[in-house]
Parts: sequence; structure tokens; C-alpha cells
Amino acid sequence: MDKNLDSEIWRRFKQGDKKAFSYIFDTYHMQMFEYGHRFTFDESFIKDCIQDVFFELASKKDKLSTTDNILFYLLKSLRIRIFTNLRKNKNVSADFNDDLLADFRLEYTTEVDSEEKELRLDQLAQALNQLPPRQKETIFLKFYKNLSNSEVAELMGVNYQSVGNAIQKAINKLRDIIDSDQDSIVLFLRMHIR
Amino acid sequence: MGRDIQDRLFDKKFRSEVSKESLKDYKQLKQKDSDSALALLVSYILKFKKKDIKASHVRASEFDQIKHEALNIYNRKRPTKVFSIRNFQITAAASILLIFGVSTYLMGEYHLFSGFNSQNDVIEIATSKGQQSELTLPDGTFVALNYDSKLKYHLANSNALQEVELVGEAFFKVTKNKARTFRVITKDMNVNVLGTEFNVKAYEDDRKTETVLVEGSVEIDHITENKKSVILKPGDKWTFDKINHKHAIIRTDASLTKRWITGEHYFDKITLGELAKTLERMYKVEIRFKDSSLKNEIYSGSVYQDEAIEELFDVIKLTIAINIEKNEDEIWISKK
Repeated sequence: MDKNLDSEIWRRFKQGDKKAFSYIFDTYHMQMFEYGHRFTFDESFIKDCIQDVFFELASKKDKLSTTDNILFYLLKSLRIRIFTNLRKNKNVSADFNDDLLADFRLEYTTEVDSEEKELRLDQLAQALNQLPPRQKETIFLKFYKNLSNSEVAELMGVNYQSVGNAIQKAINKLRDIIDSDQDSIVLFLRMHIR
Repeated sequence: MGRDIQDRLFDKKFRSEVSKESLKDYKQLKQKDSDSALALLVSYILKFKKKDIKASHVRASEFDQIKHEALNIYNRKRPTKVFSIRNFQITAAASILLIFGVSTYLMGEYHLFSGFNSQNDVIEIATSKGQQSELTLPDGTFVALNYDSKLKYHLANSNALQEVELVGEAFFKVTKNKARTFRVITKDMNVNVLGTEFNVKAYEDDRKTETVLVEGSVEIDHITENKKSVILKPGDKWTFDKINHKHAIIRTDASLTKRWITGEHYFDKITLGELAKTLERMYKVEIRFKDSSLKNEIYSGSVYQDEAIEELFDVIKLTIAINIEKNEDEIWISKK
């Protein structure tokens, strides 16, 4: 995505250009839905949150800050909205919302062919599946949405350093699997050759 | 030791180069640069092994709805409190407020004919010359109203029929509902609809009345001096000549007829006389012909809403030999 193009589209959006509005809605609403859907199974809750985000953007268009990454801006607004609405609903009915918020759902399949198995891909996939929700969300935003560390930090409300740290932790875990497996094969062979 | 694994993993170029074939390079890479090798494996899983989240139950039309509601808010001039409509099964009273709310800031002109209690409540929504608007009716139908047009919305007496009356031009996107007919009533015809997209043009001072079907199916009946009804297929343009009472169906690129919603008015072989009428509605001007034979000249092309009328005439002059004189709100067209 060309970031400069984003700035220009956003500028027009703020000025009340209907085409810019249409473009932004059409381009991003499904991406927002997909992201929101990873927090909860309740699709209509997410749909309502997206509606709230767009109604708010539409009514405050001239007061919005500038951005060179519209997707980042929208995902951030949606994330804030999801947690605000959750809190609001919680006051109404406590038991309804306790299981509304799932872990951040990001799963990898472990059914692999023999070649992939030889490379321990099934174990790597398992390890990725077991990462804590916040690390999964970080990976999702960085790998699939191309956000920078500072954007991820701002979006998730953590400090810049901890974004890098969270991913480093995940990578170390994965490296352990690959290396330890190598070691255990060597060990296994030694034991049996003897 | 190469670059940090993170740098590779989240580097666009590295990621895009990972293919299903890349695994073959793993062993060789591992000897040279174990960080790259691990980044390769992880990228491979992230890229190809992600489980999809199961298909959504939210229909595209629900997002369309949200888009149109948001556009209504977006088009407001002054900031107003955001209202959120969660549930579309609203009561009659609430639906009056909904349309009322929308029309107040969009049109600046609205009339309520009768009180809230009557069964025959009608709400009139009007645009003046130079003004267009979009709104969502309480039944979910999206309507874009072109210049100088009037729409009367009948608060439904029955669930089986929803009637609106139109003078002018409007584009409709009717929510699918098999149990209900949506009817557009105009002076020279009615359009009966199940769930579909179509454009109706029925200005009183135009020689022709027309309906273009974009999607779905509509029936046209109550045609002046015609007993038979007509059923349109997508891409059909039905026209009715008010003077000789002839009606005809021609094939057309239906997607072009709704472009006026986004500010582009597309004309396919219309007479200069017809074009002048549209321009009067768009630009709030009077257009007069010094030589009335000019009215029959044919023009095709687009007119953009944000374009000044002078620029437009410069384009028309390329194909039709005319001179333009402007004084205040009057424009005179003469032979060159």
C-alpha cells in the first residue's frame, strides 16, 4: 500500500469527499470485520462496532487527525470501540460478556505432509497456536497487516519496546523447537549406533 | 550470523519470495545462515498454514446498510449527535423520526401532511434545484434523490405493500422481501418491485418518463392510456413519450444510469433540449434557445457535478456549433 496515497485519500475524506468515503468503506470494512472477528465469535457485536466506528468518523470528519496509514487508523479505532462496547455491555449484563471475548484467534493447521513433517513444521505450527493472545495479535498486525512496531504499539496500547520483545519471545520458542529437535535426533542416533 | 530473524520475517520482500517451493532450500540455507532458515520456516507456516476463520453470517447487504447510514451522517453540514440504528424493526413513530432526522439536514425542506396517528401518514422529502440527497427508508430501501425531485413516503398501511410517490428522478435499491411489494407511483406509470435496483426518471416538464432496471426484476403498470403492464429485465430501459403516448424498451448499459449518485451525469444521445432541462435542475439557471431548431441537436457525454457550467458548454461546443451568452441566471444558446 502506498502510504502517500493514503494521506491524500484521508485528506479528501476529512474535507467531505464522498468518493473518498466510499473508497475507504469499500476497501476496509471486510478487513476490519476479519480483525474484529478474531476477538470474538459474536459477529453482530463486531458489525455493530464497525457501524459505530464509521458513524463516528463520518460525524467528526473535519476534526480527525491526519494519517498516512488508513488501515492502521481504522483498526485502532475498531479495537478501541470493541473494548469500550464490551465494557458498556458488561454493566448491563455481567454474565453475557464473560465469554464474549475469546483469545485472539489465530491458528495454524498441523496436518502436514511428510516433507513438512520432516522439517518439524507440525511442531512449529503447534507452538504458534499456543502463543499467548497478545503475541498472536502482534504477529497478525505485523505479518498480515504490515504495521510497524510503533503502529502496533500504539494500536495495542503497549510501549514500543514490548512489541519487539513479544515477537522475540515467540521466535525464541520456535528456535528452541528446531534446535532441540536437531539435538534430540543426534542424541537418538548416538544412543542407537553405540 | 545474518540479520535479525524479526527483520526478515516482517520484511515484505522476504515474505513475498517465500513460496511453496522454498522448503527445498531449507537444508542448504540452514548450513549457511540458521536465522534465515528459521525465518523461512516460520514465514512458510504464517503464509500457507493459517486456518481461515469460518464464513460470516453477516450479509453484504448489512454492510451496504451501514455504509448508507454513515454516508447520510457524512453528508451533513453541521455536526449533529450520532444516532445508531441497531434494529430495523422499528415502530412507525420511530421511523418517522428516522426519516425526519435524515431529511432535516439533507434537504432543508420537508413536510408532514398529517398527524402521527393517522393510518395514512405521508412524509414528503424534496430536493431543490442544485441539490441531491441520499436516504435510507425505514424498510431498509436506499434512495438517492436527484435534483429538483419530490418523494412521498407512505407509512405502510399493510405489510404487503410499500408505496412511494415520485416526481423527478430517483435511484432505488429495494431490500429483498418476497412477502412485500414496493411500488413507485408516478404520474404516467407505476413500478412494482420485489427486491432490486432501478432508476426512475419522471419529471413533469420532461417529454419522456423512463425506468432503467439495473438488477432484479420490476413490473411497470398503470401506464397512461395503456392497459397492459410491462416486465423489465436487467439492462432494459423503458421510455414513455408523453406527447405521442408511445412506449418502448431499449437495451442500455444500466450501470451508467446511476452514476449521477456519485456526481457524474451520463447522457447517451439526448437532445440539447433535454440536456438543457437537466442543466437547469443542476445549476439553478434558466436556459433559453434563440433558435428552437437547436433543441433537436444530439449530445452524448458526461457532465460532472463539480464542473462549472461554462466548462461544460466549452465541451458541448466541440461537437455542436453554438454560441453561449450568459447574463445573471439566464443562459442564451444561439447558432454559431
